Amino acid sequence: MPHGDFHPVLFVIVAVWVLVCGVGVVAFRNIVHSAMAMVACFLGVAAVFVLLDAGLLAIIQILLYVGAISVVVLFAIMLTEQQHAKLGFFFNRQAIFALPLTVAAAVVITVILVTSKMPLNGSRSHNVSLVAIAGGLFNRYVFPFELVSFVLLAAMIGAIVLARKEDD
Amino acid sequence: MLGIFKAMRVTLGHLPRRKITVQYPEQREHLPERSRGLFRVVIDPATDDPRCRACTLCETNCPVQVIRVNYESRYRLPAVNEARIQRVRADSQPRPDLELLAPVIDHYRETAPGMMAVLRNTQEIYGYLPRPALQEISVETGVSLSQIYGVASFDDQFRLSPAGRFVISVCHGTACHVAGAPLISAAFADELGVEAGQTTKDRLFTLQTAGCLGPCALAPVVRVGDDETHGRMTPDGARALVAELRHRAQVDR
Amino acid sequence: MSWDLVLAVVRLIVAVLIAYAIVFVAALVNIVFERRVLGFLQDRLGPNRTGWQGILQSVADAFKMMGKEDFAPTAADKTMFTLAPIMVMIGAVAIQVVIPYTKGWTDQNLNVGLIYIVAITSFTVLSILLGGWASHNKYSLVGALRTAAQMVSYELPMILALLVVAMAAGSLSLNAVVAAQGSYRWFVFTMPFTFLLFFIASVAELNRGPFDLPESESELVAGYGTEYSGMRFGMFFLNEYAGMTIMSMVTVTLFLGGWQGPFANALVIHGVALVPLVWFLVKVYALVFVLVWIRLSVPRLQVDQLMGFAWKVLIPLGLVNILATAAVLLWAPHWKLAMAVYSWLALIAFVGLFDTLLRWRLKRQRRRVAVLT
Repeated sequence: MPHGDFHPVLFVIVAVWVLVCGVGVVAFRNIVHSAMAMVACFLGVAAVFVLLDAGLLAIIQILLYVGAISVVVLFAIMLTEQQHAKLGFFFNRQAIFALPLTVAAAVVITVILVTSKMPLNGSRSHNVSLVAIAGGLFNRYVFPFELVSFVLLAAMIGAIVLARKEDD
Repeated sequence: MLGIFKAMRVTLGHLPRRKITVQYPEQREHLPERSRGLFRVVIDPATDDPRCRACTLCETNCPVQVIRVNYESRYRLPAVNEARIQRVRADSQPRPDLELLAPVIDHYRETAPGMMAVLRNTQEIYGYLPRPALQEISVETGVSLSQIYGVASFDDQFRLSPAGRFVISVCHGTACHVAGAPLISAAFADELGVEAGQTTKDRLFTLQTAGCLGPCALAPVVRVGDDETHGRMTPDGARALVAELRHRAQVDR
Repeated sequence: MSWDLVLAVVRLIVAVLIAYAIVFVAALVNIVFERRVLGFLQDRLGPNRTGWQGILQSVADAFKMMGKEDFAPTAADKTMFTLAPIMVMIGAVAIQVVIPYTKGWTDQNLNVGLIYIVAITSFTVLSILLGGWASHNKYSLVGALRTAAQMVSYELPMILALLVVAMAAGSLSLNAVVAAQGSYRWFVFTMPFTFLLFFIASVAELNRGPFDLPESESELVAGYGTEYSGMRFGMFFLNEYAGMTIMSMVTVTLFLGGWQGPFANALVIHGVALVPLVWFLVKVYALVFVLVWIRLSVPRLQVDQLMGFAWKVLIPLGLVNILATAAVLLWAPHWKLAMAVYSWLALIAFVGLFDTLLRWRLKRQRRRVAVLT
């Protein structure tokens, strides 16, 4: 697989895939179709990581986003009541505010990308090895790591408390 | 956890055992002499006649419905008294004209109704369900005789022996019962000399009890036949009714 | 359009086709294997009419299933209804990319193979949820949610056991894991407790054996698969049986030494050694036999017992196992011997004390419930 060489044709295909699925997330009227488009989008992002020779990140992307987050989103969708979106859903009164904001955000991002010093020619990414990641996590970034684990613990406890039946 | 291992050991112990199933039909299991799993007509060695009495219960109970009993049996059912009495009664019944059954069979062929409808039509023709008619129905519809009898004996409206000319139904619904229907029934039984459900010997009267007949304001209610309803009956009125019916029978001779 | 790219694409397609073929063949073989083994363990012969000793039975079943009517409920979401059975096979197919079948033969020698396996097993959950939803049937949905909850819960003990293997082998690559088990130092002998945890978790991941509540015919009709018939159901069905083989392949690679065995270099064709492949298959099918054996011998767990077992027993034990293994690896002088001693002690303690502790806990629970007179 000619990865790491950032083959332009492959990248164009994958990028189109990601964009189309992204549009699909907002465009589908059925919310489960939107969720599936989101999953496809995540898979596309994983493919981009593979093209950048960051295999570990791609696998973690699949593991976390597709395997965990999408499942949680689907759980939330399936356990709540939804209404079918109507066709005129996008061009409602909120579009007056949304459209300028979206354009402004797009302009800002483009300006940043163009004028920044990030290597955008797809050269080989800094493929950090797993050992280096582990070293970083447990030495330099151990404090945020522990904080994140506290946040997760709080979320789990909150979920358990919310889901408990009321015992007397 | 240890229990699971023990269970697994038990299961594994079955692996080397001799298998119960055999490769049928190349190999067959040897069945004992008197086993009843085999379908065959058993011949009585003493008389060289088949032992089958054509009760058609095997036909009814077969789970895969592969048995059809075609019989012209000259044997009576074995000596259970009820059956013998029924048979005597059936034999003493006038031989029904099976030609009359043709429209019922045609109706069945066209619309495939349930057995209840067929039996009701038959009873409408003959007044009761004669056994030869039921046999004919069994042959024509393919339903086994015992199943037909199952339907016929379950429902009260079907009579397996001819009814009298006047069918007296005494209502025993709630209102009539409270108004004294048992006394009415007793009076009828006393006057006619039969119990409820039976027919008098001269074939004039059949006495039966009915559930609620409807006109509860006229309790107790007695119905004669299908269309004649007498309300506010009393035991004396019952005897008078019997006398009137007898007179009517005399006149209509 | 470089020649390189075209060749890579062709290789990709051929690899995918071979993977699918392996999955289908494995599923069909497993079905007839299970039916015959179940028969033999139940004092009867299994199906042995179709083909020699009945091996063509699943082929006949597959043809029958393919000939069934293509039927979807009116209210079902037609796209998703068709998509779910197609998606469900992806898990089984994609794992084969990293499994070392024999010496010098892995499709992609990923150096993060273990995480890859974990990522792919979490993909099946998605397709089951989709399948349950797309049927537009409340009961299918509940069944799918239960299945998804079970699979997600049992991924954690599986990952925790995998981490211990990675620690012991020193790498995440599957080839390295197999190599670390050289000279018959298989991890099942040196880390039996971890093997037990991983095995139980993998049986639950497969929805098999005592954890098959989602698909128990007597309880939920067919859970998420109620509305599926014909080849759509066939896909779910085949995926379950293929998963047995695939998960056994993973277990063999991780714990039973992969393709290692005697006479490894006897028969080498084009750089691919054939004798280790035979050993690999023998071990895989021994594990498949154990899966069928367990399914037959152990009664089904209720859903609350299932989830309780995962969260209250397996995950704490998995975490303790990681801590203890890490401690042993860091501080014990002869870490291999120390790890084996610890693991065997842990296994004996777990197996021996489980029943007593469970009985004690149930007694305490029963005493707490008020007796209504």
